[in-house]
Amino acid sequence: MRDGDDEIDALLRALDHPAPRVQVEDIIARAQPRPRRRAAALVAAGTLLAAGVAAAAVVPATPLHRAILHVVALVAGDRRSAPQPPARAAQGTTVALVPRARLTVRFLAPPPGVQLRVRFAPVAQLSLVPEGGDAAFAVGGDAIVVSRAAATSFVLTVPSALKELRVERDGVPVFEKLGDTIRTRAARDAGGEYLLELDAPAR
Amino acid sequence: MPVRRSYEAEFRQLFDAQFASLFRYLDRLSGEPELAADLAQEAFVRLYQRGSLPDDPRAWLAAVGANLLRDEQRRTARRHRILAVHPEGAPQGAAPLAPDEAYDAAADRARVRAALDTLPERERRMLLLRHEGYSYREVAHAVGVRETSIGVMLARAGAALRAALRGAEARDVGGDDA
Repeated sequence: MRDGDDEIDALLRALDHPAPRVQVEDIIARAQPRPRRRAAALVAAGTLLAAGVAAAAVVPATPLHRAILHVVALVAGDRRSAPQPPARAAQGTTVALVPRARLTVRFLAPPPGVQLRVRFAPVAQLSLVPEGGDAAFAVGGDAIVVSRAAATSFVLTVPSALKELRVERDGVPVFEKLGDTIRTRAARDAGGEYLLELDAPAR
Repeated sequence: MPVRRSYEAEFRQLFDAQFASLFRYLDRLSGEPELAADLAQEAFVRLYQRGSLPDDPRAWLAAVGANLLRDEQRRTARRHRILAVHPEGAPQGAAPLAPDEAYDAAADRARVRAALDTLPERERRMLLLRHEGYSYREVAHAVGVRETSIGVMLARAGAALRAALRGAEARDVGGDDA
């Protein structure tokens, strides 16, 4: 390095602290899924959800009440009464909608390290929640487009009844559900969830 | 999550070689050693969960660490400001300094920190990565700029840092004279 670089090197060393002693085994242990805690959390979440659904379902004019009416309408084959998800764009919010038979989630240029957790649940609404930061969402035409993601992870909760789901990263499919068939390179963890690295090479 | 043995061996090797460097980069970037330690560990956790090494693992770790830091700073912006205006104490684990030496060391740290903080975030990251031994290519991947632009941008960032330090020294001398 040149003299100027040496000078900056010396200055930057004034900022340094000794690195902590961390064992790689600790890192690997932290990276493992924790089935027991996850199962307990799922049971607790399921109980709360059931209680919430029961309470909200009987209150007219709530989003959940409308969502249930929407699902009932779909089951009854009355598509005319089913409200369409309005096209909209939002920043730093959670996306929640009642999907029709198919839905595509498109991530545009996700930054390195972004993870997506996909979980299926017996719910009517699909939700996409950014964690650790914001993202810009655009919703419409059976698709959710996620751009300018500063979030470190997303949680996609999908109604178990949804027939077709496709998740793309820059046009490349990384997760597909067609009926009961799921295609992804991500492994299903003990809690039944899929953890996708959005910048990992797609198969 | 099933992880191949060969990947685990590669991961362990990378961790042994790069953890201290990633910590130092994040420590210099954030000014908070405890936070830097957490973020460096989290970046390696994410790398392990990824299941395969990216093309440029050092650049990937630096980018993920910086993204995690940005998220953390958004959440705790107020706390960060408060820490930044007060000179830090002696580095952890360092031999105790005499009171006047400790004062000088803290003042030096505060001066360099303040000068570094005058740089735009991208230039600050580039400068710190380069002085952590990253190649132009790695810096370009980590920061998201073209490799051909790195040389010029680094030269400007270095000049800006030196100018900020000279400005601070001039103000100190002026303050002492007054």
